[in-house]
Amino acid sequence: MGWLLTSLNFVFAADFNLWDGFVAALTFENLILAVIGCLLGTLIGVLPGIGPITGVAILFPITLGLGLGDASTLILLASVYYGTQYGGSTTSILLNVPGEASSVVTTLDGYQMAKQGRAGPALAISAIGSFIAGIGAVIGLMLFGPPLAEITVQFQSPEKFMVVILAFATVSSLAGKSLIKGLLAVVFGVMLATVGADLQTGVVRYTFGELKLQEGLDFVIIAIGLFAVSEVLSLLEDKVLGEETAFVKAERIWVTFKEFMFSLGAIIRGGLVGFFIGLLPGTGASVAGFMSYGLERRFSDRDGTFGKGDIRGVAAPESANNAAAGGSLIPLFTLGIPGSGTTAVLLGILISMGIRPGSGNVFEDSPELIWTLIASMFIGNAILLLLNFPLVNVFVQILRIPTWFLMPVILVISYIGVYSVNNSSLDITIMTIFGVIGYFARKMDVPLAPILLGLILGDDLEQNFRRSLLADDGNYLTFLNGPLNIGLAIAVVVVLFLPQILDLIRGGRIKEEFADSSAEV
Amino acid sequence: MHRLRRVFILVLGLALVAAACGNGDSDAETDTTAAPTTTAASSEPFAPESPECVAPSDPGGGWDFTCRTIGFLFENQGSTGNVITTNQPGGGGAVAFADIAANRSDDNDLTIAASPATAIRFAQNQYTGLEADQFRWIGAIGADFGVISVRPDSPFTTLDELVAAVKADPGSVVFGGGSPQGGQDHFKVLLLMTEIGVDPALVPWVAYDGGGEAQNALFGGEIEVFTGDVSETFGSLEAGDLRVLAVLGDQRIDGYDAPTSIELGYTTIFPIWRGLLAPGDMSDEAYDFWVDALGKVEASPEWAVARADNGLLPLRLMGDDFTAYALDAVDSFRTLSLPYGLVAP
Repeated sequence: MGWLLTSLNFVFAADFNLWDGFVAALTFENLILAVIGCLLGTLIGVLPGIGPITGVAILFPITLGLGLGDASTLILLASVYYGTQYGGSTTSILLNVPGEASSVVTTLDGYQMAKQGRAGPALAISAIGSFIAGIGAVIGLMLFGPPLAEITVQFQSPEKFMVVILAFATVSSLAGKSLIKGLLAVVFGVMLATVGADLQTGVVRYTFGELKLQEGLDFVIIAIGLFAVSEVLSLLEDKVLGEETAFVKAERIWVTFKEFMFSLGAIIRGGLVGFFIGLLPGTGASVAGFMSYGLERRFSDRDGTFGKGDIRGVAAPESANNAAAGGSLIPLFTLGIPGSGTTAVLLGILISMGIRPGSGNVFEDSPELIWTLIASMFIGNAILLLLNFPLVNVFVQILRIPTWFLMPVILVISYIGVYSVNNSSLDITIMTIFGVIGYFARKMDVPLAPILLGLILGDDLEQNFRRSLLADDGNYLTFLNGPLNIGLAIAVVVVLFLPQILDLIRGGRIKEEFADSSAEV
Repeated sequence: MHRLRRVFILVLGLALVAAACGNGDSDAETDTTAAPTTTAASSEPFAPESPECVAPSDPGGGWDFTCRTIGFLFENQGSTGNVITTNQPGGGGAVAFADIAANRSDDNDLTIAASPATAIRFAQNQYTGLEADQFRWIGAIGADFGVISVRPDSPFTTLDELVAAVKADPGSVVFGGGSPQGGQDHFKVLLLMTEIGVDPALVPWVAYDGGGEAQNALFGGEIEVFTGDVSETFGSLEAGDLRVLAVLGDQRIDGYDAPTSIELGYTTIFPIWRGLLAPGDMSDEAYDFWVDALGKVEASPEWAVARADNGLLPLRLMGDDFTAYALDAVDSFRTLSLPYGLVAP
């Protein structure tokens, strides 16, 4: 427990501690910057194609040009970052367009809620969950940072491979009616992930000589195609056939206390899953959303409401995202290892401010900036939550626009957004092709989210598999080597067979369960 | 569209600090290019109308840093107006170079960020149908250096010990880094192995997605040697998380406690310079202008700060000197890559 006392001592009693960080951060100018950053970030996040990484990377040089101080720069960028994350979730919920990898699963229940007129509560719980989990992660970072960094080092390629397998094991929760179709969708996604230059050998695969495909298929383009374009096609068909289903008018804007209490468990569990997954460099952030949703559904979906607009299905992944962002700061601060694209950009910013994360203890060496950064995360989260009282109202108004007008407009904005990222007409073609694929997938009841899961994790799956074997001279037992791997393997089995295991424990009714699941398949 | 978005963000940025920027766009140089007097170059010096720097990658990487920092300093030093950075990712630069060669080969306002990775890709024919001498090499300012690093508890305490072990059994030591076979980090292994007479194809190489992940693999014992750069290992070395057997360079680095390969008696060096290229048909006046402007940036105190902040050492290689150096590097990279099937047909 010694380190806990040391940590507490750090946080509250060091020469320059958290309170001093707040004092440095909380000036009038900085608060204004935080508000502007959150608004700007939300706008950037709502635009399809531009995510948090691009937003922060492009804004950073501008802050240099504006001559802001270090503290102000950190606050502005932290606010932009949280804003973009939130903006991405907004489009997932309102329009079924996931803005980034981490908010794909939010579409599953979020969009259903919007259709039922509960967009307000969905957006609100997303903001509240992000706030609670974000604050929790920052506290976890302050108290347990250094000891947890050792866990990061324990996770090498074989362990990461097992984590990816664990994420895939939760796929059944995304699969909808048929497990077989869900698995087909995942495999299709993994196949898509093999397009481009291979990380180990540099060999170019399945690009048909197209230079632009060498870096692989862009997640955002596939996501917008599969989700948004195919949605418009489906709506168009419904309209032609006269089966138009309008959005139910939103009756409530804010979330009720009852709904909040109902989601609190999901927020805490999602936050914990996200925080620990965030510790793993590379694999972290994108897995967190899927993993937390899958686990939450596995453990809490007693009435089969997930996927049909269950508020916990929004709360869990949204909390996990934000907690993962906090968790990924631990390897960054203690080892100098950026765990995600955004932390890589943050590393660049910290280095340019004269901090070299990884050299000893950043809390001791440059307390001013680190505590200011942490304080600015609190402030960014809080401002975003406050801004959302009015913003949720504004966003929900979007759904008042009639579908026949709204969807084409979204389509146009999506196309312009995607084209603007790389100025490439190939991207437009790919997006359209995947729109058609998505349309037929819907027709055949093939779930779309597992395709994206496969696309996002396919590369991690393959590369960690090959790295493990390369580094251990082709020995397959490397995947069961050590307690971590064995623990992960057990977790995979538990997640896959949880219902059966529970029935075994309860003693009976296994037959029915099997009868049920075979009927489903 | 990229510009549009940047303009959009800029406008919002300006709204942030309403009065901060004094000079509006009124002082944009209005060069009367339409006039046929351009032949009288000596009387009317070249000035770019809409200077642009292409980073052939997504925002956030080394090329992006080069464009944004040097672009900012071009303006800061009074050489140009506002320099726009355009990100044109794809194929490790192949998309950008193909587009520029085909469509903007005579654009006098255009510069392209480059590094040894650019030279390696030219050498391996990865910029399909393009050769390094089809572009003009403006100059390089600032360099990072490659390193050979191991864990602090590694049995190898000197480069000689590592070399002896690899010579005895080339398959016994696992190397790794942040690029694929034939990429920048692996090239350090190719160069060193060639020098000591070991077939690099026999040395195990594990590629990671960036130097950070590779360092984590070194800490965790998955790889035994990490061939990263000085800038990305600075913090870890200071903290004692890794041991650097050699910096692949010829000069010691302040605050970086490691010997150089040259002082250890080896010849392998690997400077990772940051530089600019220009399209092949740029006019001589424009080329001279950019060489001169880059020279001014290199000499400025602002660059000294930005350079040091990003862990780069001073380097000044301009115009013809840089062209000769870079084309020579491309040749030797090609010679090294050929035996391992790394050169595309």
